[in-house]
Parts: sequence; structure tokens; C-alpha cells
Amino acid sequence: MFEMFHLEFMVQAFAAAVITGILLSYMGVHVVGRGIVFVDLALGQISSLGVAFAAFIGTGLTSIPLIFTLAGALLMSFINIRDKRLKQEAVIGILYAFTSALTVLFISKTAHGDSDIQEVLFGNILSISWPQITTAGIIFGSILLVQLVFFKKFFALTESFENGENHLIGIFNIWNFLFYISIGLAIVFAVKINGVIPVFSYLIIPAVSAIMITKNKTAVLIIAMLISVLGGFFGLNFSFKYDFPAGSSIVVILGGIFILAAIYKIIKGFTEKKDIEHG
Amino acid sequence: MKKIISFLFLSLSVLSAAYAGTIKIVTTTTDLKSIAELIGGNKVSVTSIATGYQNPHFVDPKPSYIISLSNADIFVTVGLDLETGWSPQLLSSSRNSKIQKGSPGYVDASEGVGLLQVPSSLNRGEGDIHIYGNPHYWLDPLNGKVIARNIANGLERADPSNKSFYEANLQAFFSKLDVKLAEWTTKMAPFKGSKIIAYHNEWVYFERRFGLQIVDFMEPKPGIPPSPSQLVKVIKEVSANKIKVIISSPYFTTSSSDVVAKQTGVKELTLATSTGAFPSIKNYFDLFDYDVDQMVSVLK
Repeated sequence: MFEMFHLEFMVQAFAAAVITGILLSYMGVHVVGRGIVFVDLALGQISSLGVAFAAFIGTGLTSIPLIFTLAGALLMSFINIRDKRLKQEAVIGILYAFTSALTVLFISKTAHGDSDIQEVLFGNILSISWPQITTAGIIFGSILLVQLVFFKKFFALTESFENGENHLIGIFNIWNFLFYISIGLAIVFAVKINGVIPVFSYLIIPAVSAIMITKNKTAVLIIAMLISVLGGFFGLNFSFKYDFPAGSSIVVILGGIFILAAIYKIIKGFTEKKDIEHG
Repeated sequence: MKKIISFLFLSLSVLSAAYAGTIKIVTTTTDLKSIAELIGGNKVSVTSIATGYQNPHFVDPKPSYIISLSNADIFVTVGLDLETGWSPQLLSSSRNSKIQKGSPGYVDASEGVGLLQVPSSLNRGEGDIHIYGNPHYWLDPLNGKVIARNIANGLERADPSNKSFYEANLQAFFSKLDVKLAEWTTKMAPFKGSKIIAYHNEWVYFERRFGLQIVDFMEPKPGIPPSPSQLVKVIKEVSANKIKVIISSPYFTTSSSDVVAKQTGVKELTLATSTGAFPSIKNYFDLFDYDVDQMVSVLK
């Protein structure tokens, strides 16, 4: 089980998986609570649009996607819907479709534009270097630090979304703004290391699984982070032993953990129901 | 589970014992693997990272690639930015100093190849991402000699004691290639000057060797998928020049060639771009046997 750690590139991959997993599973609890699970795919797509645009104009392959993503995050923080028939998720979905189509248009006029997108967006965790891990660690660490220092502020905000009181938040709320900037930064850098689908999975699966397992807020956070680390460990082991691409292996293992959590919840539901009937 | 794992480890160690003493070569593509096997004979064990039916521009890294690179004595690359998307990252992850760029174990097979389509200006808008020239040079069998020479040089650096063995194999490869090339040229001779359409700009070396004439590509610019106006243009060209065939590769979709075929009756042909593209193509010679026979059958 630990023989993969004899190889340095697997140790590096695991280190990268752990730091992305911990940050994203933490952010995921907010994302799921706010009901904006597609925020990641939309921001990831906006980042692709940045790559496509940079390839089209022939410069700025690293800076333009970052600027685009942060601008997108800023835009999303302003979405505040008072009409109860509409959900924020719908607007994010529209952004996703719109930027996807725009990306296709840019790629169609750029030679090998799709290979640029592949390179920037389907980062490979197996070929990550220590300097890259250190940079990611510093960025992720700072985001997490801000989140932890203002823990109460951010959670109060997420709870207002959970309770449907988000219309009480003004158009510009500094915490809402900071939240979107954090998630934008986290996604840009995490996607470069892991790729879009693994990042989406790290954000959503641990949080949803943890919420299914427990009702206690702190326990949800701890379990989500634990699941992300387990997903990284067993996913990389799976990739190593059976020689599969690493990112997809991690996603499959996280999916397996979700199924286990779902079964646990169903069984728990049955026994609780029985208890009520008998009691 | 434990039994399976220990069995795997046991078989691995048996395998590595069997290979002990051989020179371990890792190549990026199957054509390089085939030539390396012909030159190295029983003194080498060769693995290729890409498969023969894969687009060598895109390879999804797996742990085994890095592991085999970290144990390799020689690394052979097509070079010229064909594999830039993946091989430099895999090489640095392998941390094997023997095969890094500039080390004796690093073999750039393109060294000394007379390159075609070297861009005079660098303009990405024109689709010239191949800044050093067209990298599909192994599709001219005569370039196989240059590749073989480069691999032999690498082997002689890593294993000087067997130099005469590698040189003998190299000469045998040269003679066989000369015989085969004469055979292929004879077969293709009646079709010299035949006009054809290609999907992607990867046949320029093949075209020149066998005197074909590629009139246009399905892609409006290399790497840009066929657009409606390009389809219209190709359909006109096919009718005007009485073109018989559109050639493509296993990793491109045929949907847009299908449109042209339906409109004009032109034939579509998927040629092999590398050894192993189809099960019958077991080595570098089979590659041209297959492609030449296929071309002859549609041009007849």
C-alpha cells in the first residue's frame, strides 16, 4: 500500500493531492451550502476561455486566464437574485454555456488551440515539481488562512444562503466578494495541477459525503477534509498499481467514497425510522 | 489482494532479472521502438510510451511511463516539438540524469534529417506551430536511415563494447531498407503525380518520397478542424482535379471527409502513421508495406 512512496514523483503527486484536497473540500462545504456547485465548472470554463483568447492573440497564456477567472469570480459575487423563482445556479449555468461556446469560437480560429487548452487545463499531477507544490502550498495556505481567521463571517454568509435569507445581503458585501475571489484563485491553481474534473470532484464529493454522514458543522468540515486525503491516497495507489491516469483514478475513488456514504445514510435512515416506529 | 500484489512483484523481479545486462531503451513512439529493436537486437529491451494508433501530439501520462523512464539507459524522441506537450514533463519527473536533454542517453532521432516546411516567419495565425519544421519525418522511409544512425550512436555511447554488433545491424537495416524502398517505389511509380487530399499536414515526407501531389487539406490550417467554407473548397477541388482519395489517420474523425465523399464519390483512406496503428503492422517495414498497398489499391 505504501510502496508508491518509494518513488519521488508519487510522493510529489500525493503532496499536491493533499494540499488541493484539503483546501477544496473546505471550500466545497461553502459551495454546497450556497447551492452553487457549478461555480467551479463555470470558473474553470472561464479560465479555458482565457487560454483560448490568449492562444488566439498569441500572448499571455498564464496571465490572461488568471485575469479572466478573477473577473468572472467578481462578476459572480454581484449576482444577487431577489426574484424567488430564480436561482443563482441558473445564472452560473448560463455563464458556463456562454463561455464554453465562446471558447469553441476562439479555438476554431487558432491552430492547435485545443492543445494549449489541454496543456493549461489538464494539468498532470504525476509531473508536478517541488517548486510548483511550494507555490501552490503558499497560495492555498493563504486562502485557507483568510478563511479560518474570518471563519464566523464566512459561515454566517453561507448559512444565510442555506436558510434562503440571501436577499438580505447587499449588492456589495465584502465577505461575499472575498469568498468568490478565494474560490476563483483556488480553482485556477488547482485546475493547473489536477485538471477540471478532479477539481470539481474534490470540491463537491467530500463536502456532500460529509454532510450525508453527520449533522455537526465542525464534524462536516473535518470529515470532508479526511475524505479528500483518503481519496488522494487511494486514488494514487489505484493509479500506481493498475497504471491508470492519476486524475481520473482519484475521481473514481472519491465517487466510491460517495457511494459508501450514501449507503450509510440509507441504512441509518431505515434504523432511525424503525426506532421511531418502535418507540 | 495481497497474493495478487506479491505475484505482480514476483513477476516484475523475474522480468527485471531476465532483462539484466540489457540496455533499456524508452522511445516516445512505436516507429522509434521498432528501429531501436532492429539495431539493438537481443542486447536491448525497448518500450514505447505512445501507441501506434495514438496521436503523438497528445499522450495522457500514466505512472508506468515515469517508472520506465527512471530505469532507462537511453531515451529516444522524435523531437522537433512533436512531443512537447508531454515528454519534457515525464523526463524531468523521472529524475534520471542519464537521459536528460544533453546527456549521452538522450537521442534526438531528428538530428540530421532534411526537414521540410521550416517556417520562414513565426505566425501562429498561419497554423505554423511547428517552429522547427514538419515533425512527421519518419513517414519518408529514407529518413528511417537517419533515425537508425542516431539510435546506433546512442547505443554505442551507452555500450561501447558492442559497437561492432550495432554497426552490423545498422548495415543490415540499411540494406533491407534499400531493397524495400526499391519495391515500394516500383509499386507507386505508375501513380506518380497523383493528386490527393490529406486530412492533416503530416504526409509531406511521404508525398515527396512517392511523388504524390497533395492538393489541399481537410483542415483549413494545421490543427484547425474542417470549417464549412473549407469543405466547399475541397469539394470543388476534388471535382476539378478528379481526385480519387482523401487520406487520413486513425486518430482523426472521418465525419467531414464523409461529407466530401458523399458529394463527390471520392474514396476515403485511413493510412497508418506509425508502427502498430493496425494489428498487422508489426514493424517499420510493415508500416510502408501497408500504406503503399492501400494507396495502390485506391489509385488503381
